[in-house]
Amino acid sequence: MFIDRYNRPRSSPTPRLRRALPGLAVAVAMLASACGSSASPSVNPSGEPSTSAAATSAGTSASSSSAASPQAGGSVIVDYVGDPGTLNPTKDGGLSDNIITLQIRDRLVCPGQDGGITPCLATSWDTPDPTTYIFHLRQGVTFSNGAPFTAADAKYTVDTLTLSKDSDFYQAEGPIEGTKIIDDHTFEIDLSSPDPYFLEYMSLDSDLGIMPNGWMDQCGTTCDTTTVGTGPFMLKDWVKGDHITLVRNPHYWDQPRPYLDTLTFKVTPDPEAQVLQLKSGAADILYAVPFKDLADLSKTPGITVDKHGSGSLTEVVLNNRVAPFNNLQVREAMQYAINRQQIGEVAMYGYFDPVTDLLPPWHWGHDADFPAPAYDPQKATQLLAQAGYDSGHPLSFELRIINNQDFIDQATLIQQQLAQIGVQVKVTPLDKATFLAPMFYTPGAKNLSWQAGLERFTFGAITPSLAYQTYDTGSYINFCGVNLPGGLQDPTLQSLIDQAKVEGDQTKAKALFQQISQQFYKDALTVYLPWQDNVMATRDRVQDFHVLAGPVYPLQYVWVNDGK
Amino acid sequence: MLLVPVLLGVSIAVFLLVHLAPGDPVTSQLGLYPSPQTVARLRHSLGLDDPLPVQYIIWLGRVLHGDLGNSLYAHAPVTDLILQRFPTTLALTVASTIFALVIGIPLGVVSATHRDGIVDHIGLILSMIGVSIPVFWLGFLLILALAVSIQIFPPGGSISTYGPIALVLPSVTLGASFVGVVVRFTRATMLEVLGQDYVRTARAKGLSEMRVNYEHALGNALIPLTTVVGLQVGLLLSGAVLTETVFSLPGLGLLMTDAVAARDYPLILGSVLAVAVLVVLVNLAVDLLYGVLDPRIRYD
Amino acid sequence: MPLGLAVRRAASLAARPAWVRRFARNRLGLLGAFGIAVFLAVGILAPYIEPRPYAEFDLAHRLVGPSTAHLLGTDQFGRDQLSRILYGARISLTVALAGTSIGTVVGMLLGALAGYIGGWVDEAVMRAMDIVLAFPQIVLAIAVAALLGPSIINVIWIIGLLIVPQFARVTRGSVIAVMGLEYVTAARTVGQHERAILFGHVLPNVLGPLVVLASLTIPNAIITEAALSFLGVGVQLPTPSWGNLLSGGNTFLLQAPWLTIFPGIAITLAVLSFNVVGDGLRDALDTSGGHE
Repeated sequence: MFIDRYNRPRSSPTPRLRRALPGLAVAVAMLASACGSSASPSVNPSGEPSTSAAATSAGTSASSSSAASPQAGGSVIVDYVGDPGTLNPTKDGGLSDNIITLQIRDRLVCPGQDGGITPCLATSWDTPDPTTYIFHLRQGVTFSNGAPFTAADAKYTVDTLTLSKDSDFYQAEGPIEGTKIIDDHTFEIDLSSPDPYFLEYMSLDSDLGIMPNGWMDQCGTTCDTTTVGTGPFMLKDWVKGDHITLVRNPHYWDQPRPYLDTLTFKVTPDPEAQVLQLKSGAADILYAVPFKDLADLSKTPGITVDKHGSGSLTEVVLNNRVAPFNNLQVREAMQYAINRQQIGEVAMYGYFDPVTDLLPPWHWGHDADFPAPAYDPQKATQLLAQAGYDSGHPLSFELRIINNQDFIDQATLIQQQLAQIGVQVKVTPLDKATFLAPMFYTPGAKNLSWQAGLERFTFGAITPSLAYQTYDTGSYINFCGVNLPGGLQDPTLQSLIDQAKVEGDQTKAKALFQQISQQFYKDALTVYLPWQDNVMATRDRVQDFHVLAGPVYPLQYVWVNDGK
Repeated sequence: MLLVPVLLGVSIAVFLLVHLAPGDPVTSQLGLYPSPQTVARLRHSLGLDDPLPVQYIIWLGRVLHGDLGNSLYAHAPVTDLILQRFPTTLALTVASTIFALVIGIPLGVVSATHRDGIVDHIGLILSMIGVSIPVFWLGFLLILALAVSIQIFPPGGSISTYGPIALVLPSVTLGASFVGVVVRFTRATMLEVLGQDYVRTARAKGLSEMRVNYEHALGNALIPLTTVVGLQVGLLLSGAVLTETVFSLPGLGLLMTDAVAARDYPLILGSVLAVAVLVVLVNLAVDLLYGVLDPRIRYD
Repeated sequence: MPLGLAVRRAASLAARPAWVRRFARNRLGLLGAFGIAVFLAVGILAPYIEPRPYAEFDLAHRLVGPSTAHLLGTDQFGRDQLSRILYGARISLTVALAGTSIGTVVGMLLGALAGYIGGWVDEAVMRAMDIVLAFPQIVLAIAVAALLGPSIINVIWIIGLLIVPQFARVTRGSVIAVMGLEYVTAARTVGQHERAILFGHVLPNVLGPLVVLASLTIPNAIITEAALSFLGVGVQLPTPSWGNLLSGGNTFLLQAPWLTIFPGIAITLAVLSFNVVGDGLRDALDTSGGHE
């Protein structure tokens, strides 16, 4: 029903950015998430986040790895903020869809530790030409319902999800043009145009988990509430708004995994309650821990806290179609007037990485030495004076935010920092629907009713295009309005973005990213706040919970050690 | 029958409120940034591009056939979602009512029979404090004291996770304000009843003070108490929204606030309507029950 | 406060000259009146008595517990909580008093119209009130807040809206009762103007119950403001109200429980003061009840 995916028309591939909405519960934000994956929009912490990246940056992985060898049995409880809207493969279940389906349905390829692609249901693949992908499928795999897995299942899944207009993911997973069964264990996907990041989407988006051939015709009235795959776990029961219980899939192809008999995902919307539950032992794993609780949790015996790659940042979006932000000097002044370091230390409790270029610190395209504007209130005052604002005629504007504590804290700091140079900021906290309503780009809409907003974006590991896709004219999440009617016009920026989207060579792509960043700062489009760390916490009985196995990773490696 | 116009009014009011509020279910979906084309397609498929009166009449037509529609976000029938959440809220309100009555009635009786005594004064002050404490604040205090400092109760979570113990703190929280009401009401009506002839007669006949107080006086004081309890249902349900939020208890209250946040139109309409029906029916039942319990009242 | 009960009680009384004397004998009531006076004084004088500017950051002393430097501790920005609570009294009481005033006036007018004119007007007004009452209050408030957007003014309107029905009901009941009295009938027979009867005879006689009801509604309004802020649809930043102090503070329940405890105490004390005064007024005005 609800289609959360944005279309990617073949002619002009749209960004494959997944931005996590700010407003979502704190948690989401903290989840590492991913945009990268396909165009699937969902808020999802979904995509499996930055895995690779995460792993690289954080270095370590296992949360509490012991030398002991894995033991089978036992159960683990994961707290998360809200359950999926649906488990129907053709619908986007929103926030938690991928967290669950990832445990149940396997993809053809998976993200690897090193940021590359690793085999899953496909053991290997060839690309005879840039638009043809041939997957050699794993043999002897059965679905949890006992049916054998063949190329027909892969074709059925990809066709149903990406080539059928009834699917929320129609044309949303890359420029897929058609699919072919070559033999029982060989499967081909043809693209309409080369896409250097295609396999990465395939590996990151758990929405592409394989379902049995004909499943959508078989599931009948239970399509939304059940799902079947070849993954490590299978669905046992689901009480909406309360919990989902998964049990071990005895047919899983990667024996002896999974080790756990039972895996329970428990809905606990309030992050405070999650922390309390972890401390009391009522939960074993938190996918998202509020920053302010980390100092305390890391000192709590029996609990391990893991920090891994920062995948999300908050942007002070400046609507460059309206006053005062249609004035370059005012936008530049904001770059200098906002003290990012202080926001990182106070509002993120030190769990942050500074912003340089537009890419996250762990990203291969990232340039740690890129010269970003530093905090300089005097320069900001000068710029404002040039723009005609001074103490007699102070600059004032409304900063709209989504009403949650993270944004409130950040906005309060910004408000106070700008007050020091005489700028009056009115902070308006709104519910998410109200916040977003005037910001989306819709052809014909003027989007003039807001001045500035705090928006959180969450980036996946692999897709490099993310960081700048927010400024692509083809993207309707181009909130600041650059190159849109009424907005600032910068054809150079758009041309760089268009080149970067299809550039398969990393060195060349990196050079393009740098040019994009330069252009971004030249136009002073928006203000980036620091990159936020993703932090997770586990009870010590949980073993081999790899950070790589981030929020939405398969939990087949996890086992429990209760001291027996 | 006044029920129908009131419910129609409620449904029209909610319908207008949610449709006129900024944002719609399409844009408020968690984290998605749908393209304009997708939004248009979705709005069309959800019937959101029809004029409001048409949408309302279509919705009403379905409701009259017993179909509250499907939740836009949860992809499940609204009726199922309500029925799934209702037991928790019912258990919460019933448990807090029982808590209030069990504490409140004896305290009220003792206050009345020992008028101006120490118990009376303490009871009065406690009940005053009880009605003055914000429900959610009391919830946090209880969590701090009994779930964090001394870990006796779960800090919040569902019945299916913890069993009935999950209801203890929420029920005490929600019931606390009600205790004050019950104490004061019981005391007042007891004082009135104790002054009446038949109680004096009972005393004169030599019945024990206990029997006079509890059988005769309390028995009669219970009738008006029924009304008070009934009239509290609306307030209790409001309190339940807050209590469920504080304790992460998945009941109707959380369902409704989540629905508003997601602009899940059918779910908002369905759940508010269900609660309104409940409130109206309970009030009606209270009136009827009052007639049964007190033979002086008759409805023609 | 059991509104239904208050309504009933309030409806049954009429102002007596002796009520002031009776209220003066109620020690608890006097204490409450003193409490109200203190809170009002704090609200009015907040800018002069706050130990530090309520918005001043002290990043070196964040989330510090109560101490001599900060009697009630500091929040996540090192802001002095005592100052914020003192200032919050101004906001919370303003919102509660303004909301109650709006609700009282609107409810009174609607109730008077319904009771005085009767017929279909009565029917229409009272059914509209039934509709508002059939909503779970908090959900109605959230929905209206979503429609109007968050601001102090809108919170005032919402509080007003929530209490209109009670005032309309009480006024209507009292008006109908007074209309049946002989002197009103007499005034009508001698041809006095309708408006003169309504404003000259009827309304003055229903003011007593309305005063009692209003005094019992203010504490509810304070709690409603806090509840709305707690649910995130209340008073905006950076203005401190007791409600948003509590809602901001409770996210630090584990690290800084004082941020939850103290604003709650302020709310409870203020609500308690208004409640005992309201109770005292009711008793002082009420001669029918068996209790004092």
